[in-house]
Amino acid sequence: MKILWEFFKIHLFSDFRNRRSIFWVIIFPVLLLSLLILTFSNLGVRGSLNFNVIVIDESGDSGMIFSQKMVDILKSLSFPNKDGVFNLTVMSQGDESKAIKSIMYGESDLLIIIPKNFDSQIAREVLLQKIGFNSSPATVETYYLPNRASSSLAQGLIEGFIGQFNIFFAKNFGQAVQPVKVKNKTLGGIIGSPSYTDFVTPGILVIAPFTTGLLLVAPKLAMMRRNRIMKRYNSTPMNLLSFFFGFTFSRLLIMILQYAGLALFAFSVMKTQINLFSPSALIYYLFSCAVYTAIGFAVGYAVSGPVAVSALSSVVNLPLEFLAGIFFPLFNLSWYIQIFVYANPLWYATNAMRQFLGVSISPSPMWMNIFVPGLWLFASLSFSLVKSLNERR
Amino acid sequence: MPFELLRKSFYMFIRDRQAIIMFFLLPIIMMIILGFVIAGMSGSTTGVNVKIVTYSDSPEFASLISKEASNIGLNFIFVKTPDDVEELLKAGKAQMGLLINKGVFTFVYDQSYGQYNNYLKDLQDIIANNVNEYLSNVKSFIKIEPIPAKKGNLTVIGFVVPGVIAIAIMIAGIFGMAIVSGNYRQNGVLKRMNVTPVNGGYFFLSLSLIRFFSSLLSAILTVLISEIIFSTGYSINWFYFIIFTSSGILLSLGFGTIFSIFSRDLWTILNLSTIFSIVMMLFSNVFFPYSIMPAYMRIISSMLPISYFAQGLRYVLGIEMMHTENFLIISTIFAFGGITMIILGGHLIFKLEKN
Repeated sequence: MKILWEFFKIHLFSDFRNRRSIFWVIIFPVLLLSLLILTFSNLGVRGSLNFNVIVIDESGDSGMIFSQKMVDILKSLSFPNKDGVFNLTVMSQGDESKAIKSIMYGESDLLIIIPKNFDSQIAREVLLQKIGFNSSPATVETYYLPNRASSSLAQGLIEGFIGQFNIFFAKNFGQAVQPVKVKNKTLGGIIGSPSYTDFVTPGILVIAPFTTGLLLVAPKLAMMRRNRIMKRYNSTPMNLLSFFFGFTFSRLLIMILQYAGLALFAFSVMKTQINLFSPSALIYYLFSCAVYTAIGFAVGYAVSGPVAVSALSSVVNLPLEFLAGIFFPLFNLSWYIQIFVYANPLWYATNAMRQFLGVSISPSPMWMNIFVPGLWLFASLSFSLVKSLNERR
Repeated sequence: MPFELLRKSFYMFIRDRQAIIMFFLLPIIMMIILGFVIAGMSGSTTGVNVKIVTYSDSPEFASLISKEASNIGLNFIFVKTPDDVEELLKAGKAQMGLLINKGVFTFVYDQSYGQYNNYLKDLQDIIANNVNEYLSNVKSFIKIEPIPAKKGNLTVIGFVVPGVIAIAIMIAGIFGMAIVSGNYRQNGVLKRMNVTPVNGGYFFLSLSLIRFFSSLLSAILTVLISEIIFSTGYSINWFYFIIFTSSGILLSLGFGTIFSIFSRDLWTILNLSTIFSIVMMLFSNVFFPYSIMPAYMRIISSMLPISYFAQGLRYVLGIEMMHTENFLIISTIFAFGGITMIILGGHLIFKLEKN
């Protein structure tokens, strides 16, 4: 027990003194959380969208106001008006090719052209409707790039506003409009409407111990193996289990401190409203810490040196985080990528933590959230044990 | 002397499995994984490709909404019971649900999709407006005729993949160079080289050149593999592609060298590289367009080279237009900046080791 305690102290204090450990344990997750929230906290919120839209009114001076009314409505939807969704540039007739070029060069997202006969077409439409005849509506051309997200989103947005234009005109011509009854329902909702901070914090609480497991366990182990420290331990009366538990407990304590620090930061600075001290979340977090420590052991035994660990973690870390749905949700994935998602322990951990912290119900069953990481724990420990016993011989 | 250094660097490189993985395989693996994740989010053919699982007790409504909304990239999957809606939504087979029951439209969201639901709520308004028009017999006074500003194979994945390739090349270059330089510094290799007539600038240039060729080959392979996997249909200007990719690779190798100046500890160098890479990825205009970012973040994005690299790659792959003068300026700045950082950085590192 005394040896275990000594190992625990040695490894714990060596990391407290180590700048690189401090970086990965504290600075990296805090920085990542802050960056993500600062970047994506306004994601999809209407007031935060900012498209560049050009409008060209080719109808000229027709003596009617319909085209001007449409330009005015577009202006009311643009900045600097409250809840504006785009920057509107009004170009004059004849600038069409310049405007199209601006779309193609990515300088603007959408071009709206109000055609020459727009006013007369609407006037004819109103007249024919009044006497009970049908006619074709006035066509507004929009130029966009379907493959560019911002252009396509701007196009979709304007498409949506057209319905409002039609209803606006209908009401102005005295037609009664009966709105359809629309309701909302959210599946898996635990708290009212989670912010991006609430969405991403559980993921960061998963990444943090994973990074610690990978970078505070594996390189240390690889270095000890390379410098034959483990072999030297073997020539002493020391029990292997004392080293294992002393080292592991020191990692676990670091991960617990990491949780406390991150939770405090997310709560006090980032104003998250999730239930950070839910007992189930804390228990699951401890389980995850054990899994990631075991993975760290397996990686430490699998690679030849600390530099190899860094190379491997650079290759593995980022894809695993992306395939865990930590930064943004995963859907429409092909079956072969889905296999990686289903095998990814971070995905299950993120799902479970989101449920336990009160963000949303886990899309994977809770038993799977324990079983699959449990398999990783078992496989990693078995691999490490076999390698360790082989090296002892 | 420079040739000897090159020869030696080549042999050291091909004996280094980690370096080969970093420069050769990392961009390909990253392109495949990130490509699939982004393709899943945004749809492969149109900018807004949302699957809506729908139950309707009225066939009239069912045909109306699928007709009205298909032109804005909405894809309705009709099911037989309301329970099927929840089931498909939970399984991630659709992003949004719609229950039409006795004339009431209930839009169903999955909370685990987080902020993405904000976009879906905008779509809800569009669908509701279309239905309102129909129910109130509102005649269409105006209709939209969307015209693509450019002809050809305009898929979202084709637009996203060059950005992903740019990120992968940059990260591989920065980390690869940072690891080799940091490792040499940490193990005292460079200190020992100071007693030889080897010039620091030449030495780092030789290390970079070998990695440059490997990275260029990997970039070509990554593009070809992306063509096969994602059917991107690029019309590649190979001459421009090689010029531009080369300049981007040189820049990333330059950054890797510069990061090695700050510390003799490999891990500190890797920490710096990690922070820089993450910042670059988040502000790359690849995963999320500038238009959804807060204004101050757009300024930071415009200062980072990655968005220009991604834009240039889209240009050489025939996806996006770019002014020729911009292309030339960016290529020159990247190449010149990269080579300068490698030579000066190498020189400075040797000097620091000497002291």
